[in-house]
Amino acid sequence: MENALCLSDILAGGDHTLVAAYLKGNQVAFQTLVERYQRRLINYINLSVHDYELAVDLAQETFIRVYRHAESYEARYNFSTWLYRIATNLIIDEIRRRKRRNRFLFENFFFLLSRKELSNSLPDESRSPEKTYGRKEKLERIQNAIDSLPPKYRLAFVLKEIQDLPYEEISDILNISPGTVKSRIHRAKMLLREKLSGIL
Amino acid sequence: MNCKEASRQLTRHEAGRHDPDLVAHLQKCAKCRALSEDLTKLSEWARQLFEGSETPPDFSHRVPRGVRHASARGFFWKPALAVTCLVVGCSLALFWTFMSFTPSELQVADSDPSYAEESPTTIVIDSEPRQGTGDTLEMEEVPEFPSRIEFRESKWHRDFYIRNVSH
Repeated sequence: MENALCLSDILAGGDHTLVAAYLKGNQVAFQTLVERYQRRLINYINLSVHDYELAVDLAQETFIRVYRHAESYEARYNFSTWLYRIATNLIIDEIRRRKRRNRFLFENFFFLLSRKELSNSLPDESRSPEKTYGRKEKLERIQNAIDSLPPKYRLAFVLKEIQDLPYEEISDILNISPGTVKSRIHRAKMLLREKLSGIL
Repeated sequence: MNCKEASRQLTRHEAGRHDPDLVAHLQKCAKCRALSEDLTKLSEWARQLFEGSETPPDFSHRVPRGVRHASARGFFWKPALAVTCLVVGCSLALFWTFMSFTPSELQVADSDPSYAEESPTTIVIDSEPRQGTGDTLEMEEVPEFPSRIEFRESKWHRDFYIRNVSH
């Protein structure tokens, strides 16, 4: 009973408590951290690399790195900052790899083609057809517009507007000053407004 | 407040939109009002990109599997890499020793008459240089000293040139 109470206290605790418990060998604490952040992390990576399967793989790799290097975590940062920073490094590596291989345009082309076919073949029955198509089309266009942003603007925009992180945390994740974060988000929004002028 | 300041404030601060200066500017500037509306819609749509995101049902179990796989991979590769390095190192050392073989024994033979009798290497002597291959040549004649022994080495075999310099 006492152990159960301790475990429930740990699981209800903050990220620091969970990391400390994991470092003492508590695997459930690590599992809880994964479950707490998996959706946000996959979403962040997916919107940054525009490839869901790859996003899941990179999220898995992020958690594996956390698992193996948890002892190097510095408690002065939020756990989420550290996690996003690892993920951001993986995203940047992936973007560089794509640039080197010069494959991005071809992959994106075929990916968009398959998404278009999928969105046409799987209607959402919970809404009226016109409204559903409009919503999906808009989301797709917004996602494509975000994809077309330069990576430095894209990452800042996704972290702020979609992940809803504070400027200070984004500054720590991207290793740039808060002023630069604000400037990049401003630039990203203005570019998106231009690109989405037809649907906003 | 001018339009540039207004656009910066609109893109940076959600709460800053209630700033009296900005509100006053928006009331008189249609361009900035349109920008404000567009940015509000953009934020709403962007948030829906998060709401629509999904996680694979088995993801939390994939991570421990991935950790085990990565650990097993590390466990295999580290000793394999060490063994490979050892084998390559030994091979290189042997090859280097073979290739850098110096005619030290022949040089000894050149200066020590007794060496010719003790040495397992037998050498054919001619007044003219004669070429042999391999470490052992059939003995026809024990060299009379002073004789000059030259050693030539190519990539795949060694040649012995023996010159009799006594006459």
